[in-house]
Amino acid sequence: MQNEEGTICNERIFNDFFKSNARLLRNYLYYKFGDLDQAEDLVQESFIKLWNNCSKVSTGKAKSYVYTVATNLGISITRHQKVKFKYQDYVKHVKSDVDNQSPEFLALEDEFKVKLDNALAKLSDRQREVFLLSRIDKKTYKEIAQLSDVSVKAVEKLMHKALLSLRESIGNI
Amino acid sequence: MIDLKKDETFLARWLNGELTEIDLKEFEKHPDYNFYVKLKQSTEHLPSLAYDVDTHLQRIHDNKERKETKDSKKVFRLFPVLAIAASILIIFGLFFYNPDTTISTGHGQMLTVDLPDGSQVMLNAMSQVVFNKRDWNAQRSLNLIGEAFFKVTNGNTFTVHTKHGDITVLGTQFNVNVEDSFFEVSCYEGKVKVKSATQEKILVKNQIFRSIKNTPQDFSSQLQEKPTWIDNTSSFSSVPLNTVIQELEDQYNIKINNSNLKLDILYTGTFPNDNLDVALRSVFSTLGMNYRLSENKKDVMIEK
Repeated sequence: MQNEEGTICNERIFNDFFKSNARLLRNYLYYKFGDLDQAEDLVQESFIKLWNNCSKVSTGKAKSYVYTVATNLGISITRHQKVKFKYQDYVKHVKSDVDNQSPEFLALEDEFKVKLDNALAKLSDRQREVFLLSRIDKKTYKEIAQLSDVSVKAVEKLMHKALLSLRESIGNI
Repeated sequence: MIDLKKDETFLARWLNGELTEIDLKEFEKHPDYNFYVKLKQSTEHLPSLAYDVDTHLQRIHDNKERKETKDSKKVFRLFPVLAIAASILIIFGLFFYNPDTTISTGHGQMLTVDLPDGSQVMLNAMSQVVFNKRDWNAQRSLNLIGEAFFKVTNGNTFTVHTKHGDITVLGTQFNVNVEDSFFEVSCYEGKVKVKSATQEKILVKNQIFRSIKNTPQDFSSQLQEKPTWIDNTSSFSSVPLNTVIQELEDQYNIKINNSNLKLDILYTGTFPNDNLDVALRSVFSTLGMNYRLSENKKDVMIEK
C-alpha cells in the first residue's frame, strides 16, 4: 500500500521524525534510567535500528517502536548495573542555562534543592519518569501515558505516589 | 480532611489544576499543603536539558553507514574462509604425507579457528598457526607466526611454539605477538608460562611479557577484557616504531618506505584496522611526520 516515499525509509521523513522525537525520548530515558550519556546512546541505537528495519515499521508505529527498543535495551543494561539517577549532570546544565531561569527557580534555596535532588534519586524509575516528564517537559498525563503505553489513570497514580514519596524523603521544610 | 492515602490520584489532579473548588478548599487545610505548594513552585520552571539534534542525527547517519560497510566487509571475509576450506581439503588429500593443518590470514584479515578440543585461536592479520589434528588430544601444541589471541579450554598442557620461545598453559586466555625483533605475551585469564631463549617467566592475569631484540623489557600495562585488535583497533604502548609499521603493513597490504624513520623510537597510541587514512594520520601525525600515500594506495613515503 505504501510506497517508499511515504515511509520512514525516506531519509527526509526519517530526519523529520528524529528531529521531532529524539529529545523527548532522550529525556524519557534519562529520567527513567538515570544516566544522561547512556540515554543518548540508547537514542542512537534505537534510531539506527529503526533505520535498518524501516521497511517493516510503518510511520504510525515508528514512535512506539523507538520507545520500546530503547526501553528494552536500557532495561537489559541496567539489569546488570544498577545506575543511580545522576541528578548532578542535570544541575550542571541548569547552571549553564542561566537565561531560562525564572525568578522562582533562582529563589529556590540551596538546602531545599539538595533535598529535592536526593529525593528524586530515591523515586522509583516509573515515578521519576512521570514526575519529570510532567514537571520539566510539561507533558500532559495523556501524552505520558501514550509514551509508555499505559492508561492515564496509571500515570495519575504514579504522579500521586511520586509526590507522596518526595514529601516523605524531603521531610519538613 | 482529605485522605491522601485513599484517593490515589488526588495530588496528580491537584498539580494539574483539576480539583473542584470544594476539594481545593479542603486541601488547603491539610498539614502538608504548604509543602506541596512549594514543591510545585520550585519545579515549575526547571529548564529542559539541551539536546543538539543535528549533531546526534549526523552521528546516526555516520554510524548506520559504518554498519553497512562493516557488513560488506564481513561478506568479503568469506573469501579467506573459502580459501581455507579449500586448503584444508587439499591438506586432507595430502593427509598421509603431511597431517599438519596450516591456517593463515592475509592482509587485513582476521579469523577464528576452533581447535579439536574446543579451544579457540583468533588470528590477527598476516599470521599463521600450524597444528596436528590427529594427535591433538595427546599433545596440545601448535606453531605460531604473527599474532593471535587464545582461549584455551581446561585439559592437559597447551603449548604455543614461536621462534622467540614457547608458551605453556593449562586453561586460560592470552595473546601472543611474534614479530622479527618483537615478542609479547599478554595474559588475560589464568596462568601462562613463557620460556624464551634467555629466561623463563610465569604470568598471571593482567601481566605482560615483552622482549625487544631478545632483550626482556620491564613493562606493565592495564589490559582490557580482550586484545583491541579483535575489535579492529591496533593499540600500542611503548612499542618500537618498526613493530607499529609492520602492523600497518600487515593490516593494509601497503609498503612503508622507512628510510627516513628512526625505527627504534617507542610509540604509544592506537590506529583503526579498517580505515587506512585515519590509521596513517594517527601514527605519523602524532610523530610529527608528513607522509604521502601513492595513487594506488600501496606505497607510503615518509617526508620527514
